[in-house]
Amino acid sequence: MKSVIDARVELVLLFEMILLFFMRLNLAILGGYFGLLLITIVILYGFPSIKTPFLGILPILILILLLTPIFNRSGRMIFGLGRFLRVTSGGLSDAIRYVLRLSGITFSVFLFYKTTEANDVLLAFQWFGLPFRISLTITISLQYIPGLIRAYGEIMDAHRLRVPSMESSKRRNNILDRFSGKRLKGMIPVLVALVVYAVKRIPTLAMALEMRGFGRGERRTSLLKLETGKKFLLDSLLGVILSAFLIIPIVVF
Amino acid sequence: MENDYILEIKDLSFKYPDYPGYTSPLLLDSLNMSVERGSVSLVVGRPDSGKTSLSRIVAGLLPRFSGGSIGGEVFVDKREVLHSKPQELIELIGLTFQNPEEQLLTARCDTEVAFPLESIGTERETILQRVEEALEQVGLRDFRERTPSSLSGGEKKRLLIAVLIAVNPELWILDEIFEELDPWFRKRLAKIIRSYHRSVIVLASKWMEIYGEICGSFYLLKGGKIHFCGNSAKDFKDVLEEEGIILSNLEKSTGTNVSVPAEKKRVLEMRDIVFRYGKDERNESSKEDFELAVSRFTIFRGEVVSLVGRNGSGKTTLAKIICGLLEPEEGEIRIFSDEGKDFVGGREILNRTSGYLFQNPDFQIFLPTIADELSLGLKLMNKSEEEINDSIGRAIELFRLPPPETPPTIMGYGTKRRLQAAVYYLLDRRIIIMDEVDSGLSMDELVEILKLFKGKGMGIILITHDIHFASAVSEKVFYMEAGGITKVYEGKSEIGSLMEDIL
Repeated sequence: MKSVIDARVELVLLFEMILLFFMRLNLAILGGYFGLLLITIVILYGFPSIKTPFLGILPILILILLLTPIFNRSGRMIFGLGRFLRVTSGGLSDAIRYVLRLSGITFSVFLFYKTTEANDVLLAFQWFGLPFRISLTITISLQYIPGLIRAYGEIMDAHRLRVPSMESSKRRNNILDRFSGKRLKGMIPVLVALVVYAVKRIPTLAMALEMRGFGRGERRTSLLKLETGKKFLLDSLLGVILSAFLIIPIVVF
Repeated sequence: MENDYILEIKDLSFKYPDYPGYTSPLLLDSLNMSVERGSVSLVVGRPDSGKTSLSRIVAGLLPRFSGGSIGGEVFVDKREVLHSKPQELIELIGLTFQNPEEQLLTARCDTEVAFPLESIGTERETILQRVEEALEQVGLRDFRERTPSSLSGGEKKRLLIAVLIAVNPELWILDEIFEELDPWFRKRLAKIIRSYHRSVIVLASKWMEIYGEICGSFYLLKGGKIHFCGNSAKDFKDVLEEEGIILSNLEKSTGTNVSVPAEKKRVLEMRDIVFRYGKDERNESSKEDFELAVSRFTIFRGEVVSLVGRNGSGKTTLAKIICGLLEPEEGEIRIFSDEGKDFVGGREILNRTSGYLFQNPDFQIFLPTIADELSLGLKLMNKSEEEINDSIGRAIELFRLPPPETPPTIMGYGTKRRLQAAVYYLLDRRIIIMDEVDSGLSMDELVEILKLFKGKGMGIILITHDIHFASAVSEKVFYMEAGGITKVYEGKSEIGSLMEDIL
């Protein structure tokens, strides 16, 4: 996969997006940014592509929506049931803000990794002056995530055959059942196997790195390099335009 | 004249650290070994005999990353390596791991090969040239920009060989490298080994005929010591036969004392199966164009069949459909009861009917002790405590497992494979799929497991690259190519011609 836009420009844009979603902006603006982000992903990779990251954060989103109004009771009351259950305008607006924040950051990182090659990310970090050791650590950690997702899938398959009752196809399709207590209990062995796998990978990863000369004192060379020609200039220009597009609504509204 | 040794090991002893409630045995016991420069040596040892540990000690990785106690001296090209850092030795020693996934670091095949060259400061032009040559040698030139994780097991091993070729260290240590490789690439690797004129040590847990073609010195690792067995492949095979690592008549070995029903009863039949990987499958993009189409596949009670074919031909995909891990777009799978009744096997029914011995046993083993692992399925089957204890005892004896309280996490690869098999043995599955089963198990262990499964009347599906093994133990061999079964070998004479056809 080749990087769509120069990795250095994408890295700056990613940083800006994360910053925006952390700012306490008007909900409409925040929603607008998130909507544009989703539209970009759908145009580039199709609607089904958003399913996996969305399902990954769905339990946290549900918890945010349920718990935030309970703890934040500022503003006018919108809905109430008894003494404890009260949904206020402040609580609701914060719940939506946090949902947009988490989803926005998740999808920004998702888009970044969909459009940028891991090697280019490593080179981009180094271009910005980050030492190779730290850049490589970040890149390997991020590469580790898809590896863990693959391992999780294989472990689920392995367990499904040993303990077939742990997940039936009907239950797989029932979104509420995904988070039922019984199902979560059934997940424990899978998570144990995943943790064992991840922990065991640490020394072997360290071995593999040292076997490839990581940690030697010499000057390091590189097979790949980020070009600084015409494409970089055009991509940088595009980056400036996109940055301006992101900042203007904040200034105007 | 003094001998020119590339590797000299003197009185090497090694033991992994002890854990609460578990005392690690002495793995290597005053081991001595000398390997001449430029030779190709073969070290054979049973699974868990210490081959991988020995190779990692020589490469400076152990006890650095494992802890434990070590004694003795190891010299590579006259340099003492026990106290050296692995990164300082990369131009001297190159090691390929048994599990290639553990060694792959980057997101592209070319950068994977380039990584060690970058570490030693090789100029970019030279890196480009060496990467190109190395990938060409292993037939992965068109995969330059592919993600290593999207490669098949055999292709990953080829990539590791490309790394070795690019760095070209003095001593190559190849841990179970020939396993998982296509027969044609095994030949290619033999040619590579011969053409680079480096000192090579091949570690293996069982014999393959190709070793006789490339190796000049033969060693047996047993009881923590290395035994030099001379320079004749024929004599070495005799030694391995005495040790039970080679079985002289495999077919006879699997056939004895096995109660195969006289009347052939079908266990599973699939017809007109079509399967394609969807874009949202967790499989890599490279599989998006793959289509599996199988018009008919039947397996009988107590029958052993093998799926053979090159990497990426669809063997694992077919096996995953059989056990219900993948759902075909078209076609029908029918399951037959012992009484001859048949019904359509949906994914859940197939999940309950079949067992699958995954290549990585860690994915299937997760409980604190062996007893917990063996009893889990029995508890779900509502067996009494007495029955469960009896079954555990029987399984431990039959599959030669350590005591029931042993934690599986500290067991070796081969023992974990036997535990995996024991779990499915107790679960009474009608079909058992053994993926790359020859990896990590010695031949006699493998035959013993096959006998036990056959004795229960299970239909056994082997996925293997070991054509000799497949032809010796199988009643049918299905040859797969580009997602389809292109030829079925049935009967002694047809199966006998399999090797010629494939090579």
